Amino acid sequence: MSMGKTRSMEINGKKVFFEDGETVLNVAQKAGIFIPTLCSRPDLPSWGACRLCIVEVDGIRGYPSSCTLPATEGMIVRTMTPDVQTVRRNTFQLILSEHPSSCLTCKNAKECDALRIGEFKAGRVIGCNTCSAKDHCEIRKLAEYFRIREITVPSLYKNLPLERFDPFLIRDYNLCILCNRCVRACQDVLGHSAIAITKRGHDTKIGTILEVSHVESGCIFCGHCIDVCPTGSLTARNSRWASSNPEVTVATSCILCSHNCQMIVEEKWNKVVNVHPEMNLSARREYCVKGRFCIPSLVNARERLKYPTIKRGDIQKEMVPVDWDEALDYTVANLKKYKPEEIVFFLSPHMLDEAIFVFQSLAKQIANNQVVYSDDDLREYLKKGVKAIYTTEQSIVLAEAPYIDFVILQDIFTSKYQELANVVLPTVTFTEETGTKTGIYGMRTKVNRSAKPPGLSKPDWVIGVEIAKKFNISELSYSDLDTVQDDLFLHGNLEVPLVPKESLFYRGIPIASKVQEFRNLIRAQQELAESQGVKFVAKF
Amino acid sequence: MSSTVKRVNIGMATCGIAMGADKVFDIFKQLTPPEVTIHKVGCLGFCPHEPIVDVVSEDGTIVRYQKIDEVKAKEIIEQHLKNNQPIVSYLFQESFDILEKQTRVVFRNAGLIDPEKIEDYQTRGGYEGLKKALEMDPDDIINEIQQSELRGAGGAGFPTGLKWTFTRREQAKDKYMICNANEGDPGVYIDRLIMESDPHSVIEGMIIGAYATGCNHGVIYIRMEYPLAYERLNIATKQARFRRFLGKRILGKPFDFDIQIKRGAGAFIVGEETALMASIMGKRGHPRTKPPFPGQSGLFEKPSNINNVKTLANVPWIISQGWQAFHSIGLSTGRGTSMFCLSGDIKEKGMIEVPMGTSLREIVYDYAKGMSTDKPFKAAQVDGPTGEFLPESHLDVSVHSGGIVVLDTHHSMVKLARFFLEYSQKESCGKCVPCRIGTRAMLVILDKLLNGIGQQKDLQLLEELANTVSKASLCGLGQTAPKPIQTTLKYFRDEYMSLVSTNKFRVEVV
Repeated sequence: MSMGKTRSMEINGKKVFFEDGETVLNVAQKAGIFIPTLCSRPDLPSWGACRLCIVEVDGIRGYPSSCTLPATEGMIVRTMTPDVQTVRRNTFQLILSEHPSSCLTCKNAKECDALRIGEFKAGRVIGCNTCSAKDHCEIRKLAEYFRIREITVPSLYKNLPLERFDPFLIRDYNLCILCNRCVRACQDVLGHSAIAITKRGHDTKIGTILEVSHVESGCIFCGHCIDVCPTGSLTARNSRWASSNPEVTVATSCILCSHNCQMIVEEKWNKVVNVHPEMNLSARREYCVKGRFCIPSLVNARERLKYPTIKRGDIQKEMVPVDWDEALDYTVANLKKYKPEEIVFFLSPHMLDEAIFVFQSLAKQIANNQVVYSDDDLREYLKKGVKAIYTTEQSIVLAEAPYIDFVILQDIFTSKYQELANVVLPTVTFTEETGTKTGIYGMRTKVNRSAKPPGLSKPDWVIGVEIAKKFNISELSYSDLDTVQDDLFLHGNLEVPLVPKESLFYRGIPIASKVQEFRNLIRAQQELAESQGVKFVAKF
Repeated sequence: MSSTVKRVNIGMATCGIAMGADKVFDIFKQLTPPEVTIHKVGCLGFCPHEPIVDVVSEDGTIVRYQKIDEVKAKEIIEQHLKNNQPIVSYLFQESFDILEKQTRVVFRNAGLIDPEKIEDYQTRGGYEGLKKALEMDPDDIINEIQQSELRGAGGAGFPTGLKWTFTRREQAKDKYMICNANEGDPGVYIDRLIMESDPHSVIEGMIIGAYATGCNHGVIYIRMEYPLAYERLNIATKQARFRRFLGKRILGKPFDFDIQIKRGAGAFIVGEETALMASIMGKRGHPRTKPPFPGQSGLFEKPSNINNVKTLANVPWIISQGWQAFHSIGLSTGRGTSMFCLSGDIKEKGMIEVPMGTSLREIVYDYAKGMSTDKPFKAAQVDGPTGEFLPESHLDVSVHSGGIVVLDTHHSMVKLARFFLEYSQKESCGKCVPCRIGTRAMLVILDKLLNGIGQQKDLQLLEELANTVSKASLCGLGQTAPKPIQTTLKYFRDEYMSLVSTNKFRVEVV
């Protein structure tokens, strides 16, 4: 923001101050003067298409839109003259004539809203009650302001087909008011140009150039377009019906790669229902499809481990659910059979710093400091004759080497690796625990708990500390997270390998196996690469 | 007995070629005696009479034939070129009267010179204006243009000299001189005539403008539907570059300027200056709100000056003849000439150039020689699809350059208004709400009226919508799109009233 000289102008007879480079709309909003607008957004470049923010200015012919009009010294602006209001009302009526507007003009809308709790899921939006964007719709807010009870202009509903063919977004351009926010976010903020305005006249609509699919048009599915959409035209497939009225909203970080983007997790019914970045575009970094769309499906996947299990029975070995005490006793008793050189810890780089610190310390005490972070390193240790593996990730090495004496699998999801393990300890995803995570450039970000862990599952660091307690290791007798963090702070860098942005795995699990939409995206990208005859590289 | 034939000029603009002038040209090329030279020339403005063949004698007298086909061409070669006997039945001598009546400044060379030969242009005083201008101070040139009271011929009529001062006073390394040749109005081909018949006049005007405003880049934005004009402009820029009228150190002066020609993609809205610049930059042709004006921040966010083809073609003439010559044409309401593309129910269709301030009555009854049908004059549609319908009571007003469609009494004004509204509606860029949705809503109401199910309240709604669209729209297209409706409602309201359904119980069945 350029810090210029403070200047003054007059809006509705009130003297207001501004700095160079501000628009009249900006100045008015700062002064608490309401001007209706749909297409403008402070974090996007001005566009001036909805024509609702028109004002009357001395010395300027016609009605300029205040969102594009730079404020100048001594300007005299009137925002509420009768003519301006009439033109605005008529323009808003024109917007409503394209939009399903029965609920917007209904005089019983308030009572109706109070009676209907939750959403009415519907294939097509025929009114606000069947719209998933009801709670954040900006047209609804303006409809309350204008209070139009009858639309006199002819109905121009376009009856376009619902666009459901891309993996993450559902697009209903019948609701679109062509504010161009999505295109501006895509082109001007991110520089991707995956979407554009196509066609002309009344047929104008948002789409991809040459009407190719979004995968082909270079869309990276960052979801910025959804976040800026003032209507329900653009909605996220996985969260459109669940994301309204979240019970808890938690600011946390995504740890699916080492960029550790900040995100806001919305929780409802003890489940993560939606994840979105900071709503102010200028304050956010580029978001990838994993963080934007995959987290709810990933962490809410049905196949979560809920109870510790141990392998029991001498002839017919089977996994039996037990309580934590028994599972850890069994684990510790077995680990004690091996010499420290025979035990190796495989720590997932997706684990939070506290957990990694606890397990590193544990490995120092009981496993001769034998810690690995990747499958290749684990293979090296197996060649050296390691007999017991404590793994916190679904490692393919377990399947490659079924001869290992004793395997402890600390995992989130059920899998075929369970059969290969002697003990399975259920742990939690990063949305269900609190801690910190070090990412690129050594930046440490905070991870906050937003959802309840399922069953008896416990955070990684708690399991580590409890095992240490069973071993009677006094250095690791932590009572709470703060004490772990204090020691972690003294310890300094953990030297954990970074997770690249392109990683397709979370703790050894392919994200695509849990997130159907992500699977579809990868498949579509593969098909595209095949049809173009180029090597497939996942792009997001 | 006239003197011997020296050259033959064949009208080979788009209109001529469409009527078969290329075949006529081939015949002449094959059969003409070697002492007679054959020239492709542009359009005189008599498009319905094409192909026009001028036979020029040694003493300069012109014998003009009209509607020549291959058979007639052979007869002319045999009788006129070889035996010096003009064929009276094919003659088009009345064209000289019509031409004499006109004041041809912009069309000064149209139809007389070969547009693909720079020598032809130079023999008629071409590039003299540039040579004179380069000796002058840029401020003096702007002064000259300001004193001549030249106004933009694109429609808005903004004083050209004043516009040039805006760009001149900006300090920037790169400045752009843009020529708006995206003539999108249906049925108007004035810019095409100039570019096809006299491309050098536009280029010379641009160079003078660039020198006066300090621009170093030039862009001609020409619509895609004018391939011949594009080709001829390309040839002309090459020739000008070869003669050092373009390029580095023009005519030895420390002044660099070159012109690029950019073709449009077929949109009417790109005639709006901000949309045109967006299109040149490779973006979608969307207008934006002003300020900032192009003079401050235009093409590639650099100071840019944008003028119409017709405006620029005036500039060399003003510089070489002096501002007084230009100022003496026209009335105090407007100096110089206006160009019209006449069509509709009139006898002489085509393009004319008349002094500013010429009344509609003169244009219809003198230049166009009155109505072609036995029905009387009802209205004239002026200024393109977003223009006005003027009734008989307005025959004495003068109008801006552009198209004039003259209509007799058998036309339905509502249907015509609907036609023009539909065009604007289709060509709306879709950016702003009033223009995109409002014009469509008006169209739906008009259809309702025309289908006999319109009510009195629909008429009121139509008026209110027209008012909203013209007041709230972002650019000139939307602001003027309701004009056909507004003017027909004003002058021919009874036609709308007759369409209003009296049956209150009749409802629309969708």
